[in-house]
Amino acid sequence: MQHKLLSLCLPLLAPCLFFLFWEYAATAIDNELILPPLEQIIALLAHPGENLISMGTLAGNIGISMVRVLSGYALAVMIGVPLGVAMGYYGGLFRLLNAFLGMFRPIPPLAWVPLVLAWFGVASLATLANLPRGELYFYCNNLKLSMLFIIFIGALFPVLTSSVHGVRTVNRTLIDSARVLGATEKDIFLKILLPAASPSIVNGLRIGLGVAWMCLVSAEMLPGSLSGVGYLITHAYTVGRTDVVIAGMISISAVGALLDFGFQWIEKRKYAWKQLSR
Amino acid sequence: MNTPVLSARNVHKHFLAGHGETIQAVNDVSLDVVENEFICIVGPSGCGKSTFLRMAAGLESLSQGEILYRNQPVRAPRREIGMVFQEYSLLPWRTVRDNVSLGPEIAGRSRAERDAVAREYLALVNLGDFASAMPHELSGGMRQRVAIARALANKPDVLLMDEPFGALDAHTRILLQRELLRIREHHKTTIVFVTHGVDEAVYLADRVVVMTPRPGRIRTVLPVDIPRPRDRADPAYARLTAAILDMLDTETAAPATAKEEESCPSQASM
Repeated sequence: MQHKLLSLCLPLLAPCLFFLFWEYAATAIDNELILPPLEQIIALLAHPGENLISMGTLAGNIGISMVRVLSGYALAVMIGVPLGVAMGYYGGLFRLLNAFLGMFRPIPPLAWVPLVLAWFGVASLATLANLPRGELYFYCNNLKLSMLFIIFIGALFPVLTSSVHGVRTVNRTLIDSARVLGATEKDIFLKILLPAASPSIVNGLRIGLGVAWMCLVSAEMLPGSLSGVGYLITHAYTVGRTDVVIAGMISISAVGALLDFGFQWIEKRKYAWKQLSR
Repeated sequence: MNTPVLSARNVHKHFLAGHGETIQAVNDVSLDVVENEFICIVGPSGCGKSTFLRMAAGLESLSQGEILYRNQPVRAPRREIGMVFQEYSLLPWRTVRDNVSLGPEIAGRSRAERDAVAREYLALVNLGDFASAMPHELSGGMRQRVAIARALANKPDVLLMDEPFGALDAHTRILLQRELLRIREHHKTTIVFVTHGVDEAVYLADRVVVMTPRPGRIRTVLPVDIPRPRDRADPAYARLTAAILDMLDTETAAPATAKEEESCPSQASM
């Protein structure tokens, strides 16, 4: 019992020490620009609906950021998963594309920024679709093509690589045993390859979403952006609101962890067999 | 009655190894398997016996010769020719029931029919209580019984078995050998069974096919005229086992390349 209590408290120890140290340092430095006290951040986080330095609310900015990330990410998933599965299954396609895609893989998403700006400028989904000015225009104008591209390119490679890997490492015997039962190519694809590869694919989706979320700040630093957590952070820095910077960082961390937790939950529930059958 | 169900005629197989040289895996194998016969192919590892079986299943192409199933050449896997693999052939994300009914599912049978088939064949292998279990919850021996049930549930005419008990411990192996013969009593099937265990071959087979090391060719085919159930203490049984072991011994005295067996090019390609 005592042991259990201790092991439950152990993960809380480091954060508690960290916050204590923070409080101490903030008091010692006594400069809000360098390190604002903890309670100031908590106050900001406790009122996410409050209008901050005329840039909208914390909650609203998080919402806009999430829509951006999810749009770019959805694009990466729609292209990455089918392409990855096809590349994993057809050796010819793999040979054709693997080295080519490998050239782009090491490029950090941020390094694309200048090129992306040259291509897309401040064009958004709204200008692309030629929407009339109105509420819908306002929302879609927040989805700049340049941002979507940065997020897309960040999420694409983890999703693609895991899909290729998942399909390529499917046990040959499983495929053979379905073939001797009379399975067609379609059966093998739907009944063997996809289920067998799905733990790896879902793991790629999870990593991809994490990366997409991390590309957020760089994407929201692009010109034309007037909202989003990334923008909030950089703008707050220029007006000397370090407390808003930190509150934004904490929000990014919290949302990222939440998204990741969702995927972990799916993995635990649906893919227990993967762990257990090794 | 004596028309061959499966017939191999001068079958050759060579692989192209990674470094560009050709490896002769199977060399001029001819064999007729008649209805309801139990054939065991025994040979040292690397002799191409598994490759031969995969060719008979239509999973592997032939380099030369032909394999006929009831006078039709086998070019691709077909429902009439079932196969049981050594291990890890069950779909780990499916229950035992849904593994056994995979064949009927592929054939487009309804859920009710599939479940009825699964129930019947799980009962046949004495695993009726494990229908809802997942493969990882079963022991190795139970998994192989499920694999046998799955193959039989597809109602094959010939059953090919590729060292199905090879990964099991000695005691379980003996239990499953007995079990297999019992199942065969209820369920007449032609069986071609590949093993490297001489004792296993003599215990099970009507005829034992002894192969030479690579390039694998048939050294001899021995009928086993001992009535079943066979007693391992029977002198005739011991004599036959010793004779086959002796044959394999003199063959492997030559420089063996057994190590390469596990990485036959076809298996390693993925």
